[in-house]
Amino acid sequence: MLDALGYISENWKQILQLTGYHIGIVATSSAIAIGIALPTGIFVTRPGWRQHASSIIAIGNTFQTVPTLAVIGLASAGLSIFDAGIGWWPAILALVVYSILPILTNTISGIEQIPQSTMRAGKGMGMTDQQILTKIELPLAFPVILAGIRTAVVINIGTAALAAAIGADCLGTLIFQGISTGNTQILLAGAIPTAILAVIIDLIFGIIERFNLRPQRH
Amino acid sequence: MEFLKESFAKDEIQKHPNSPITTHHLLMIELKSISKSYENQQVIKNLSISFPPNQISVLIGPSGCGKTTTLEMINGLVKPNGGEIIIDGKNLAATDLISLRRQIGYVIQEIGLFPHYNIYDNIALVPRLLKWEENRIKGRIDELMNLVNLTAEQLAKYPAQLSGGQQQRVGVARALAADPKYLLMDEPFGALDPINRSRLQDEFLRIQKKLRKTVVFVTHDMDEALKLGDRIAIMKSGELIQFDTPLNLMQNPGNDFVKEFIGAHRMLKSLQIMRIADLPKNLFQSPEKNYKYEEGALTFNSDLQSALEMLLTKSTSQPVFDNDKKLAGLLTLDQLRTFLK
Repeated sequence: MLDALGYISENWKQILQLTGYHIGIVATSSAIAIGIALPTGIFVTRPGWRQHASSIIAIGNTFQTVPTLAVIGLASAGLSIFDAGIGWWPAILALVVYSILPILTNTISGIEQIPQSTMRAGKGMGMTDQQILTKIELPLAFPVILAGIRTAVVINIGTAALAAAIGADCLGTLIFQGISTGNTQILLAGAIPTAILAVIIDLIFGIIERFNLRPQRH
Repeated sequence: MEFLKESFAKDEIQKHPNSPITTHHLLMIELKSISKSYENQQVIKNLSISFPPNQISVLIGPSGCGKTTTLEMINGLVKPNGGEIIIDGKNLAATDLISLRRQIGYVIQEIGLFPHYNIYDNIALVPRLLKWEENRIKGRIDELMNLVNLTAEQLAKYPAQLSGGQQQRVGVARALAADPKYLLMDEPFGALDPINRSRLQDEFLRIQKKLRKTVVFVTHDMDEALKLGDRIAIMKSGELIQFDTPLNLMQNPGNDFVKEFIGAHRMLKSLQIMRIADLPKNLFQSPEKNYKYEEGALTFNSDLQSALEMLLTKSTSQPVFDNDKKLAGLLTLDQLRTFLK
């Protein structure tokens, strides 16, 4: 353990760089996943589409069932058609596929848990559909959507390490390097920052969620 | 129903002595041959009814009779399959529903306050939709808090911090915020405990006396209907059975269904509603001596229930005073009994 700390302090520049790449992969894939899942979740909760919500969730569930490493492999194989099977982009693709589901399901259930009466009151008082979405549905669903994003991002931090297997530079690079050379110091130099990163990001989300809490009945 | 039209026309002529009779459309909500079905089920059958201006009209009937559907058609939440709805002389089908709804106050049983808005922002909703200036909104909200018996400290609280009764007071204030001409109320007090319900009913009557909105009120509670309604519409399976004043409903129920629906103790309920002023004047005897008005004495404004109570517990003949506290005559137990028979 102490040896590992020694390795980290000697190679901190490289580790910092890999941490930066790691964060980059997670941030990019999470942003794309939010960009896909949030509008989809809003769309399928519109009147006339509600009955399709369950089939959309089923599709997301199927993606989630595929083992992580398999998704990464498939993404790499898929993108290799375009000569981009190695590195950053297949890793992003795999992580996006993997993070859509928690954000999508939480967006749908966050909107559906709002009492119909609240929406009926809003509509009956002359709010437009768009006002109902932006002033009632999204603010009230926000804590649930945020919890979905939190789950997706935290899982992503761990999963992103696996992306080293297809040549994406990240903290996983050190882990794989450590495993293949039997060097525990290098392994821990990748594993410890990954774990710390996951904990810190989770804490940050926790703080955001607490700020968002409304006063409840005392 | 004939008398209804007459008294209506009379009212309006008095209010607009120089205008032609057609102005009676003003502030009125008219439903003409409305029908509505969901899939194969017809929930409203050829319903025609005119809710008179400045009055509380109550829709009542067993569950599934179409009373809430009727109410929700007035602000366009539900669209009829046939017939037309005329509000303020304008056909609803040709009206912009969004701006119409901002002119119709809406109160529902579930209250439907926005949990993420504090009380101030909840009440300010419609004025803000109408782009009122913030100063004007603030003044209006101060006024409303007074009207619905809430304190200024409660404005910063969130709905979950208030009791059910307080929340519905906010609900009523929110509906009245932009000073709408109409008020639609869907069992607004139905979820409250009996004490709070009766208190809010009293407060609502007091408010209505001042504001004189055109109110359509849905309830399944006959006592509430009799207490609040200037007119009561009894519905059954999507049809209007009778639309009449509470007193007429009790004294001349149109059929057995109405009779049964008004229920037991009809006589006692009608005693609560009728006032001495409603009695024929020839019922009073001329007094043999000059009575002086005292606190608690019967006046034209007293209801028959308190009259009967005094006749039973004090003396079988009681002096009655007119609204200027001048002696109008003597009322005896025998005569009241003759009248009630």
